[in-house]
Amino acid sequence: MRHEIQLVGKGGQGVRLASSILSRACGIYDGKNLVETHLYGAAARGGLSESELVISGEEIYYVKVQNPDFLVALSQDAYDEYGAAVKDDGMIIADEFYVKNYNAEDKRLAMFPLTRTALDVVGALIAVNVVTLGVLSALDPELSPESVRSAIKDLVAGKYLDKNLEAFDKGLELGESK
Amino acid sequence: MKTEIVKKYLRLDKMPTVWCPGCGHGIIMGSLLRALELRGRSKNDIALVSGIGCSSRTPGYVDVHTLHTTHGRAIAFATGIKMMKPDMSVIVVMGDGDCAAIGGNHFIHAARRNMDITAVVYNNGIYGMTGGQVSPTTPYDAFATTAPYGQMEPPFDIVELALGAGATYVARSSVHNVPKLDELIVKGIKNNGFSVIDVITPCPIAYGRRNKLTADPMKNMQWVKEVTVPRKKAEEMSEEELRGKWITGVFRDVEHVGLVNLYIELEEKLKRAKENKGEEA
Amino acid sequence: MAKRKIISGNHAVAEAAIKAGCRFFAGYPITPSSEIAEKLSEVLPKYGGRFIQMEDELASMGAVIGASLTGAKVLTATSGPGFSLKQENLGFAIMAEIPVVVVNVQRGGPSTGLPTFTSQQDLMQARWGRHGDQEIIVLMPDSVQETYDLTIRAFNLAEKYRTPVILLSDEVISHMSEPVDIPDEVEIVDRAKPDVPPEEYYPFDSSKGLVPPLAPYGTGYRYHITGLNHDKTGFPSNDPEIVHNQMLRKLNKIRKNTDDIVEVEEFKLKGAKYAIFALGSVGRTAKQTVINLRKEGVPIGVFRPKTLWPFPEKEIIELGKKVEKIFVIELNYGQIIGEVERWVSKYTEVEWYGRATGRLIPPREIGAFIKEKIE
Repeated sequence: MRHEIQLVGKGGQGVRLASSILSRACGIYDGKNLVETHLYGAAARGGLSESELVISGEEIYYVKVQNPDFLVALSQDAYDEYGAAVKDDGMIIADEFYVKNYNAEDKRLAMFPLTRTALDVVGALIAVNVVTLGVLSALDPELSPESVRSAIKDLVAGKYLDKNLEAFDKGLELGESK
Repeated sequence: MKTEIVKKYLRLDKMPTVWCPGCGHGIIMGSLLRALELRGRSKNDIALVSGIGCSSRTPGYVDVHTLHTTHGRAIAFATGIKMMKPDMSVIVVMGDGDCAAIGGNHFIHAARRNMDITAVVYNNGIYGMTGGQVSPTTPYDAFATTAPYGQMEPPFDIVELALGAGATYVARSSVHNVPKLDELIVKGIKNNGFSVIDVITPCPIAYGRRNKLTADPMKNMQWVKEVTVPRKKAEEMSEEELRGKWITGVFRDVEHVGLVNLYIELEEKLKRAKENKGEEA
Repeated sequence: MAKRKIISGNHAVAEAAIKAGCRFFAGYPITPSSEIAEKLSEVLPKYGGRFIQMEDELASMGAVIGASLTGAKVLTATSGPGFSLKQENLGFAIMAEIPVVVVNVQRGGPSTGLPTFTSQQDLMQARWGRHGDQEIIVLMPDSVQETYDLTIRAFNLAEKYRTPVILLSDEVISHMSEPVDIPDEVEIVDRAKPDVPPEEYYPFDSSKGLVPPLAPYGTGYRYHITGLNHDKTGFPSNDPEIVHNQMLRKLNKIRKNTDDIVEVEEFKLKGAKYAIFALGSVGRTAKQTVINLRKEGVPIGVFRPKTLWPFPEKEIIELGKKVEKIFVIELNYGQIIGEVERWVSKYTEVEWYGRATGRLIPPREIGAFIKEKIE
């Protein structure tokens, strides 16, 4: 089955690394097919950062996300611009710190203290991506937390690894608590 | 003896040349051939590259690896050859339009990166092959088919350009002083970096006829003599006296490792690093 | 054992180039192709290869031709505006029959256009961007794996036919990441070397067949190369008969080998009543459209040339004879439609749909268009 995940935030939140970790987890450790695409812009920092993953046990034809099963919204713009396309039975994982205006009636929406957890656990905003991966891994049955953890070990540099794994575990807890 | 040398390097079956009577290009080619002999490389280790124009027909007559490319781009092609064949002597011949107009960007960057190439500029101040249009080195006030009221722009000084861009060997001579020209080209080829030899040469047909020199070869050669001044003599001349003159001599001759050799050093460094890593493992 | 890796289309080009034996790259930064240059600047010196960032696109095209003459396999990569600038020396490489591989990662145009978004607007420029008559080989991948495979094929074809080969990617394929199986062994073709002593060698000798051997510099074979029309020796000639015969040989080395050069993917075309003609990234969309439409009972398949030029004339005529309608979908305002019509309008109907807004056209939109046309 075709499964779609979309990660959206601002430049500097580590969206690209998070999507690379998910790609590696699904494509290498789980042996699934996947296509990872991004929205590119001329600005290197601060602008919209968007990653799309299509995951499937079968061959993937169309490469872009159409109606995501999961949307991660790390900014207000992300929620505003991409929220509507999420499947009716899909899920929007949004960051409490940056997403302030939202429809509380929306059954798809789940708010998490992603940024705050990153600051509490690692003391760095940049860890928000790994916290998010933890939450996502707990909630998305297509993902294997162990594979995601292995991919983090492959792609995060040595001296930051322990803190990142801690942040990932904290994210898992947050996700499981829902 | 000199004739023998020229014959050794020429493709005699390609004679006569396309060059007009009184043209100085054959004299520069003669100097280049003697320089090759003095440098002592095998013909199999020499590449001669050109762009488009009268001067760029030179490679066709010379029995080495010869490449007649597109207008202004000879240095780019030569760069590819030199990068992959660092042991080859790579020489570029080009006209003033080729060098300083359409190929200006390649010229300054080859100088900047000190690419180990020798550029011999056949500088006659005119586009000869296309019929006498104004060039970047046409003297101020001179006439050309596209400057019927006289050239309004000042000329480019190719020596100054090469110096400013970082060439490590820069010299100028003319076809009026052939022994000197032979010597400068040899030095240029020997230099381990980007060398420029700017050669003032007459074009009686496209330039001379329109500029009161007529097509008479002697009058044009006399003009070359008049517009070129050795450095030493120039030092004693006023700015007014030097207007419209080309100063000749060697302007820079320094040792500085060229790009190709830096690249070879890098490769060796990477190789050693890989070997060391292998030993540790 | 093949090694499975997740890499982008641009990195697949770089990895495949090394695998194919490429040892020289010259380029100039331009989005969305720069990752190819970045990767090769790091990797080439580790394989005894050399990298140079030139002062402009014209120079990088010239430099790869010069390097190819030394016997090296060479690559340059660019996108739209840079591809325009490369045409001058690409024409030289065609005339002088120098093997080079050029990657053009298509972006929106004309001019600076949409630097970070995809398009298929260079289909005709790839074919006819240079002045003068010529044949050219152009390959179009639809995935990262195929980018890897076709890059290797591009080098092999360039060497085999002594000609430039263009890999026409696009922003989507070049920037997306997918798992790729990197094979241990691939088929590698090297250019033919002279089988005669230097004094009997001619670089454009038609008696040696359609593809005369090209002697590398520094191996004792001294010859002349020019962008002027030339005779078998490489020296300029304007003799009408010589010009004609050399031109014909250069054209025929491609024209008479289309069976070897052309590759086409056929997807669910068996018994299909309709076909979508799609290239590169649009091929993926077309396949998804076919899957969707077949669920609704529409007998449709996809015809996707991996070789755009020389155009798969024979194959498209065969298709035209079989199906009732061909839908040409492209990310431009009508380019390859003309070529498709040229070959099949005698046999079948052709419908066109497309635009170049920088984004892929989604399958449901293409599906709706097709359904409207067949009802």
